[in-house]
Amino acid sequence: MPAVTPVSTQRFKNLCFIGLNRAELFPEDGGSLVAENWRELIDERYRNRHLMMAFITPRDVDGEPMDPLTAFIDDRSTPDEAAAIRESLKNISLFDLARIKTSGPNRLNILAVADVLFYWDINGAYVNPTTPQTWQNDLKELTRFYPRTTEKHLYTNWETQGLEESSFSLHKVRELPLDSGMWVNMPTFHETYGTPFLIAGVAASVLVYGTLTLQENNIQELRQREQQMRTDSERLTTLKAASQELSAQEADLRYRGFMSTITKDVALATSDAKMQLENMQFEIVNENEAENRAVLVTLKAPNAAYMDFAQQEPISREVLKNSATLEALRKRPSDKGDFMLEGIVPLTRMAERVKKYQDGQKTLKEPTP
Amino acid sequence: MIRFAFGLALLTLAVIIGSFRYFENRDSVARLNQQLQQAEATQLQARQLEAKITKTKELLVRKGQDQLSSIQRSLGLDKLNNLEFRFLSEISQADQNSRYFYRHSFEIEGMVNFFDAAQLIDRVEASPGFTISYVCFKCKTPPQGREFKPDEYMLNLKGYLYVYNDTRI
Repeated sequence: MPAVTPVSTQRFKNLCFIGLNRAELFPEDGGSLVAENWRELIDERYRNRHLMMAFITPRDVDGEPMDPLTAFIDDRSTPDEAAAIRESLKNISLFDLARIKTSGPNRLNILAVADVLFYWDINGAYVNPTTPQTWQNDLKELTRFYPRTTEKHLYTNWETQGLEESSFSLHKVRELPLDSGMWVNMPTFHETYGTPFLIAGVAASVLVYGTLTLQENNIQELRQREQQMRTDSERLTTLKAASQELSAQEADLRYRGFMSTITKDVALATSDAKMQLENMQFEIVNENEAENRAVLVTLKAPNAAYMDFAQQEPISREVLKNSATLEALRKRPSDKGDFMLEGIVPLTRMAERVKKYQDGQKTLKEPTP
Repeated sequence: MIRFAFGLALLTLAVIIGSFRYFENRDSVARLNQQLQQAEATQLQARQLEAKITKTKELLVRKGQDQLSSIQRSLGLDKLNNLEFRFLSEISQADQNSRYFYRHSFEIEGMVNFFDAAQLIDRVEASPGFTISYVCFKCKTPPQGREFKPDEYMLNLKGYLYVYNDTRI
C-alpha cells in the first residue's frame, strides 16, 4: 500500500464540496456558490482550472468505502448518463472524505460545508445533515458528547458569529487537511510527468541531433580539408625525392660562375708577373665536400725557364701578389727539375668575399633618407 | 503512460546514443585536427621545397634542351669552328624519364686564343645548367695536319650540364 502523504488544498484553485443534498463551490476569486447538484456549479471554466471536488461515499457492508463513482452515479442513471458523468469528472481531482485518516487522540475535526457537518475523530469519520440556519445548534449538539478537554477544530467559511468561539479552533475551508489516501483519482507518476518527459525526450533528441549534426558537419569539413592537404602531402613526397636529388648537385651549383673569374684573375696575375707558362690548369678539388671545395690552380713553366730558387721564389711571390683569388701558392715537388706552381682558391672564402662585396654595393645603392 | 514511456525512451536513447556518438565524434574531431596540423606543417614544408625547387630550376636546363645542336648554338660553338663539344657520360633514356634531376658530364676541346677562351668560359658559366669543373690551357698537343694561328692553343674544358625533368616536377 502506498504511503499516505499530505496534499495541500493550495494546489487547487477551485474547491467543490458535495454534501448529502447540496454542493458548495469555493472559486479561486473568493466567496462561495451553492446548488442542489454539483453539475449546476461546475462548468468548463472550473473543470479545466485545477478543480478539487470532495464528496462522501457511503460505507459498504464490510465498513470499507464503496466505489467513489457511486457518489455521482446512482442506480437510476442510464448507461449514457453514467458515461457522461464519468467524462465530466475526467479532469477533476476527486477526494473521498470518507477515506480521511482518523484524527489523533483527544481531537475532533469538523468540516461545515454544503449543508453537512462532516466530522472525524480517533474512531472514524461521520456526516450529519444541517442547514446554514441550524448548523451552530447542530454543532453544539454534536460536540456535547465529547469531553470538555477535547481539541475542536472547525473548518468552515460560514458565518461563525454567535458561536462559542473559544471552544473551537477556527479554520478556513482551504486549510482542510487532505491526504493522498483520499485522492481517488490521484495521477500516477507516469501521468503527472508524462508530458514533461515527452517534451524533455523530444528536446533532448533535437538537441542531440543538432549537436551531432554540427559535429558531423565539422568532421566532414575537417575531412575535406585533410583530404585536400593529403594531396599536398603526396606532392611533398615527390618534392622531397626531387630535393634529395637536387641536394647532391647543390654544392656544384652554389659556386657556379667562379671559374671564369678565377681563370681570368690567375691569367692576369701571371701576365703581370711576367711568368713564362707551359700550361695552366684549373681543377675543382674536394668536389663532394661543399665546405672544403676549392679550385686547384697548376701553373707549369717551360723547362729551364726558372732553374733555381733565386728565379723561382720572386716569380712565385709576384704571381701570388698580383692575384686576387689565390690564397696560397707552393712549388710542386718534382724529380724532373720542372718548375710547377700549385695555388689554391677556397671557394667558400671566395663566396664570402663576393657576398660581402655585394652587400656593400647594395648598401651604397640604398637611397639616403 | 504512453507519453511517459515514449518520452523516457526518447530521453534514454538520446542520452545514450547522443553521448556515445558525441564522444566518438569528439575523438574524431581531435584526431582530425591533429592530422590537419600535421598536414598543414607538411603543406608548409611542401611550399618551401617547391619555392626552392622553382628557384633552382631557373639555374638549370629543361629536359629536351640538352641536345648537342642546341647546346652548341647557345654556347656559340657553331662560330668557333675549332672547338668541339661532346658528352662524356651517357644517361639512359629510362633514367632521364624516371629522375627529377640529372646531369651530363661534358667536354669542350679545341684550338682557341685566350680571348675567345675567356669569353667561352664566361658563356658556359652564364648558361643555365652548366658548371665547370676543369679548365686547362695548353695541356694537350694540337691536332696534327691542321694550320692554326700563332696565338691559338689547345683548350680543354670539362664540366657538368644539370637538367630538370619538367614532366616530373
